[in-house]
Order: sequence, then structure tokens, then C-alpha cells
Amino acid sequence: MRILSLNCQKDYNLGLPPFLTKTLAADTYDILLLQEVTRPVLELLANSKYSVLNVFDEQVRQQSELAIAYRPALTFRSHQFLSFATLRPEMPIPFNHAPFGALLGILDYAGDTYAFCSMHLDSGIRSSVRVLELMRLKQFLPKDVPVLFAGDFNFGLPGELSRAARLLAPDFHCATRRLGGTLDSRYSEYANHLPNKIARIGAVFGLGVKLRADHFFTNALFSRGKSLSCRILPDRVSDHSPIELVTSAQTAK
Amino acid sequence: MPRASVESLIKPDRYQVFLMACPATFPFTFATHPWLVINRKGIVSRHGVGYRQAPLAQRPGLHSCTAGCAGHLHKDSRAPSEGIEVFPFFVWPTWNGHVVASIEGGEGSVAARMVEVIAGSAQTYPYRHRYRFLGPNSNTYAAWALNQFPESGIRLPWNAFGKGYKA
Repeated sequence: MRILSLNCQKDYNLGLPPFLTKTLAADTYDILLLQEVTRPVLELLANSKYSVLNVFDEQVRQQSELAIAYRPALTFRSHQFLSFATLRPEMPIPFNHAPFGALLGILDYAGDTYAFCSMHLDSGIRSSVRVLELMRLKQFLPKDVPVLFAGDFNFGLPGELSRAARLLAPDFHCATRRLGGTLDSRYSEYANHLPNKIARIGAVFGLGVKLRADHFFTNALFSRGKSLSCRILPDRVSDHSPIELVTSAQTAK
Repeated sequence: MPRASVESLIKPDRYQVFLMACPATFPFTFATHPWLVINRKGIVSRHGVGYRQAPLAQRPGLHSCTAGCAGHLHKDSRAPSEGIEVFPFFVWPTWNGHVVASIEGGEGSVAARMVEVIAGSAQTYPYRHRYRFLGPNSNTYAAWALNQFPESGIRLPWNAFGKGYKA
């Protein structure tokens, strides 16, 4: 099974449509877990042989920016959505953050049932919001089926990945613990909050940081009897690099 | 030396109880605001009392409540190490919480029994629908949970006003 996770950065980077067109035509991946998808990206997916799961976020009354695209070899069973839109308090006027949440798709593949989750955590400077989201996510995910969840965790502060791994243990294990940086701040778009503003100023002078923001997590049922290998793709299609996970049958030593 | 965050102290194979605290909201920063974080073999939850009642706290932009909240007693409405608001009526910034004391153990230990009591406190804490400045308040709740297990050796600090509240 080959799975791709990508933050589409709301179709901001010109390299995204050709990359997605090429990827969808090549039929390389069984599942694409996407974040920050916009209408043009959904149209690209709709015009391919992939089926698309995208839901309406009732909490903020708008279309969710999370999507799961899967090949016809997989059969849809059910879905659930957990919104994180209201978990970050803002001053002076509270407002919602529509992109954040977790979209869970229960799919059948080769006679087995799997749970795949595309998720996007808060992008602010307060790690406590992400911790709270992870706690909610851990309760939200099913325990009795193989689970894989991936997406943009927005980990940027020192030790955040270790703390998250401890919070999600023992149910879930990070498959991308040793993967390098995936978010390059030089390619961030302008947005009206502090991290993006700092990133844009740095980019003017060619300065940027690489953060290990994107990850794959699996539970024991998913990784049992399988060998998981992850890598960062070299394509520059958004401020995030796409990451892929390939499963193969474990060989006895 | 920086204080260790509670998330880095979690052991997925143990029962743990952490007494967390931060200063109270300005201008009462001389007082402390405590809450309890429990770890039931990897299942981490936060339990504490706040002045907002659960239905009122569930407004967009504020920390949303979970099904485990009851009245003023909140479960997982904030991250384990996030304190309360620094200034009244402003949801941000918030204090950083620190670990005051902790206890851990295996099956049948004091920590395991404390975890069960705290996890079920939404149904058993007598003052969950009542909040007053000098008690019952967040200190009353922490004292109520800790006083049931004097063998834990965990005590609230002197500035936990309301810990001695009696109805």
C-alpha cells in the first residue's frame, strides 16, 4: 500500500496542479491524505479515477479543507469528522480556524477494514492548543481496526514531537520520527498572524527554517506484519513537501 | 533550569497523578490555581474546576467543553499544562502550568486508585455546580481529591485559598 500526505497550501504554489495531475494520472498511490484543499484541487481529484471524501464542517458552517482521495480498489464504508476550528481562543474578537480538524475514512482494502485519517493541527505559536487537539484526536480514533493518520501537525517548537508521541502512546506510533524537515518557511504565504508574518520577512532575505511538521502515525494493528518505509518527496508543490509511506510484507530474518 | 512539561513525564505503562498549578488570574496572582492531570496507562486527561459553567464555556473561541464536563468541573477543556487566563475577561494569554507534585504506580497502587476517583469525579464531586471566590473553587476540588488519599503525601500549597472549604 502506498499513501501520500500533502498540505496543499490552498493551491498557493504554482507547482501543485502539475504535481497532482501527474500523481493522479500515474496512479502511484492508493490513498492521498490532503490538507488545505480548495475547490481547484477538489476539481482535479474529481476529474481523476480517484474517489474523494470531503465533508462540510458544521461547526463553522463551511466546507472542510481536509480530503481523502482513494483508488477504486478501496471501498468506502463510513466517515467521521472532528473539527478543531474553535479550540484556539483569539483576542480581541474570537474567531474560528476552519482548516483545522481530522477527517476519518473507514475503507475496505483487500478484504480488510482500515481507518485512514487526514488531519491538520493548529498553526499558532501555542503548543498547548496542539496538545489539546491531539488528546481529542486520540479519543476520536477507533481502537479496533488498523489506523493510519497523517497530515500537518505544525510541530515547530523544540520537543513537540516527543511530547506528542508520549501523549499518543501506547496506542499510536510515529512512523516518521527520524524523517527530516518538511515545512520550508520560505515558501509560506502571507497570512494575518505572527508565524506567517515572521516567515515572510525572513523569506525576503532568503532566510528560512525547515520544520518537521508532517508525520504518519499508525497503531499496532496497522503495522503488524508489515514493514513501513517513509520518505520526503523532492517536489516543491507547497510550503510543505509531500511525504509518502509504503507498506510491504515483513520478511522473516 | 526550565520546569519539565507534564507531557514529557507521561509513562504509557503506568498510572500517574500530577498536581498542576499556576498563579490565579490578575490581580490575585499571589493565590494558586490547581488542577489534576491523570494518566491511565496512556490515556491522559485533565480535571479541574473553573468559574465558567460547562454550557457557558462552550462558545466559539473559548475552550470548548467535552462530554465529561459537569457544571464547573471540566475535563479536557484545556491542554494538561495550560494554565488559566492571566487577565480577567481575556481568553489569552494564559499562564503556563507546572507540576507541583506527582505520584505513580502500577495496578492496585495508590496512584491507580486516585486515578479512578478523579476520573469519576464528574459524578461524585459534591460542589460541581457551585463556585465561589473563597470556596468551593478549584482549590476545594483538588483538596477533595487529595484528602481521600492521605497516603499519597501530596499536599496543596499554603496559598491554595479554599482548600479547607466546609459547607
